[in-house]
Amino acid sequence: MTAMETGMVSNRYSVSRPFTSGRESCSGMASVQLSEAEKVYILHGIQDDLRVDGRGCEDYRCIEVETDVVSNTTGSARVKIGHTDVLVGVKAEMGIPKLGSPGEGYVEFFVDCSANATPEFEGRGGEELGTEIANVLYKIFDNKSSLNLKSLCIQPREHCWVLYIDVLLLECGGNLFDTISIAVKAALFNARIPKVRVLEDEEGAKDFELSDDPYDCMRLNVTNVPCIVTLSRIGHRHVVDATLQEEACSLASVLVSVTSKGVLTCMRKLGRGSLDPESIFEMIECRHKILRQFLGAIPAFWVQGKGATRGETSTQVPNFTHSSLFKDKYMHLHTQPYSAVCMSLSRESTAI
Amino acid sequence: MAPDSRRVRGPEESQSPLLYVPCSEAVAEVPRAVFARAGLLSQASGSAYLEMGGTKVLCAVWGPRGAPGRCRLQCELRWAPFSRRGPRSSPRQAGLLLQESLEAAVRLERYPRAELAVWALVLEERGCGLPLAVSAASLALADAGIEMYDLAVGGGLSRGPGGQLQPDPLDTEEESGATVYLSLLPALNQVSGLVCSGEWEGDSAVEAIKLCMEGCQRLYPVLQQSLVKATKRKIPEPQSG
Amino acid sequence: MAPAKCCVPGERLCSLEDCAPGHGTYCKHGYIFASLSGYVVKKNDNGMMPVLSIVRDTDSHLLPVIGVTVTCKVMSINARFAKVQIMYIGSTALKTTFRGTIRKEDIRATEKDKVEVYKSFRPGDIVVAKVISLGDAQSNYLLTTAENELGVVVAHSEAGASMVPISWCEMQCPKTHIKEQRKVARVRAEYLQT
Repeated sequence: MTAMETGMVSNRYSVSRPFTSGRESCSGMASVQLSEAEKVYILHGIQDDLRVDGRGCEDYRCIEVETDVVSNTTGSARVKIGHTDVLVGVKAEMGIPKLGSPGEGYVEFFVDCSANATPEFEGRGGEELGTEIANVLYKIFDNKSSLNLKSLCIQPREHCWVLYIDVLLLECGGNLFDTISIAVKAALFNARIPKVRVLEDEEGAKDFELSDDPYDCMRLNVTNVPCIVTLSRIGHRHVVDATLQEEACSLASVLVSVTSKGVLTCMRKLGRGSLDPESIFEMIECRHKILRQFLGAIPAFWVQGKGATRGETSTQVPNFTHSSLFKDKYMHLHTQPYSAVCMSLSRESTAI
Repeated sequence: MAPDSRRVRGPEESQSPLLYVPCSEAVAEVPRAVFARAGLLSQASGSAYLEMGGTKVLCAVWGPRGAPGRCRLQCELRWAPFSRRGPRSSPRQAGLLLQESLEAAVRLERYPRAELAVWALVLEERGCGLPLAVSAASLALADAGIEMYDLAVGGGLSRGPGGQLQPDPLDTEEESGATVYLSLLPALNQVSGLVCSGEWEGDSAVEAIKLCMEGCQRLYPVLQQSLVKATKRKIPEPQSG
Repeated sequence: MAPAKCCVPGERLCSLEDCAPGHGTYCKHGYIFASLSGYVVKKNDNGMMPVLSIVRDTDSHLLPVIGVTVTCKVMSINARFAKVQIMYIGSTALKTTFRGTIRKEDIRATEKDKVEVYKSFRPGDIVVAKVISLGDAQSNYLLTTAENELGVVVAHSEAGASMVPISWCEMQCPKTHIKEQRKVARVRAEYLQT
């Protein structure tokens, strides 16, 4: 596609965003090349509320959530939406609280865009996207309610839990942000932080005792952890959960992070295009509809995993329920359905 | 752990020195005064200086210069080391936000195989550094004679603890939580950049965005005027004929 | 005449029905908008619709485009191509130089297979060439000298003297009378200073 052709498509078919040129998708994002005819096809479909894979504009693809997939993490999750595949591991380590908030623990994000996802990420290619995603994650957790950081504090000013959240992109098939946010939420839900007892001897020296019992642990309350909904503007309409092809047609999208109560915790415009203010308001309004869609889906689907045998924690969710997503208390501690992938990963790292 | 007897140990209880820094409590209800000037650096292709309240931003544009591939807008936004107390936000992310806000305003297709470099420096930060940098950068781009659809005007807003919306917040107000930064192309009524953080319930976000847009519309004529002045200074009037 | 109006990007100038958009403007919703800061100039072409354009007389940012004649300096040569730095577009000096490439097959129009780069250019030569492609993400501007008017215009001999062209493919040093091979351009009469 040349700049001229891209411009032509959107000039002809969208009035709200006539300023187009050059690069098709968001910065550094894995992208596909589309011909003009393909773009027009996608655009026309979306105008009639029918997308290439048969979805409506506000429908998600099938979301697969699998927790406890990596054994040596505090909590882990793998989320698959269409061809997007994300693995998140949470590791809890002891650290020193930050000066500004002596009574709280903190969270660190790291996003690894491995070249498994697309060859563009080879070397330092994925770094830019990785930092961008990590920054968004910091932003959505940058408020008091999403995670109770006070519960991560062991001793004010001296010791706290630091949650290192590592995101690994295994496959990119569009809608990275949403997938990652769901995976982070699932991994946090899955996290079991060992309980710590502080022992103090007569001289004032302190000693820690970690409980050996794997069930004697602290669970995080993730009800208020927000999920990201990315709304991509295509033509006159917006779509949720855009595929790679649809992302290539969109010049601007709005990323909204919402909690299950509908509170907006972060919002960002992505991409190089500009948006009509009215369409932004429309998108903000749209979050309620999407939330309802989430809430109306099968309640507490995690329960399915209850009677399941080892290796069956994976659950298919037609529409994931935001609030009921992480209700179940029961988890298989030692299942490792993902071991194959992990093995291949470790093999690769040794090869490098 | 045995105490280290060789060192003078600090007190058990210690506080961050920032706790003792006096905090100005005054909340200005009036809009903050703005000073804008374009074309003040002689070496750069275009430049602008913008001041609002205590926030001062200097921006320079270089280019277009040869670069492989399509036209790129390379933006960098930095905070001077002495610009504010306490830690500063990551400059890399800020540059990206600046780039996103400006890309929709610049006619990049007119500059194939070239690169435009935008360097913005926040000299002093008293709130609203990012939106001011957006305004300054678009002023500098226009001053450099880069073809643009419109000036991108930045605006900021924060919500105080009582829920009141405060346009052009001070840095102390920004810290309190919920903020919105927006960049608007006023003549075309298009939003080119949007960053919202903190918690926004119900329709408060929509209200905040609207208020922010109003702020941008107010700033727009100021930028226009300073640009006209700079243009008249820089370019001799064409002889009719 | 009234002083020319000064405008800034995004300013609405007039309806498309009254004027035709010229340099430094764009159209949207049936109106002409300014995309440059500068002076508005309306040019009346006999009977035609007046053309509205924006003038910034000084250095408008010229970029090499396909088909323009450029003056460049040879930086390096190898068996396949010569690397050059574009310094002038037409007769305008550029503020920043752009890098270009003259491939072996673009040096001459005829007998392309017999052309050799080192017999056509030497580093330091001043060459007049034409842009044939903007190149892709990896490559530079592609230039050609396959015309009579294009090729080496200024070259220095090993003795350091400015050489005098003696044929299509040879130049001679006035000091040592050594002949060196070049792709010599026939400089157009209007550019010659006598």
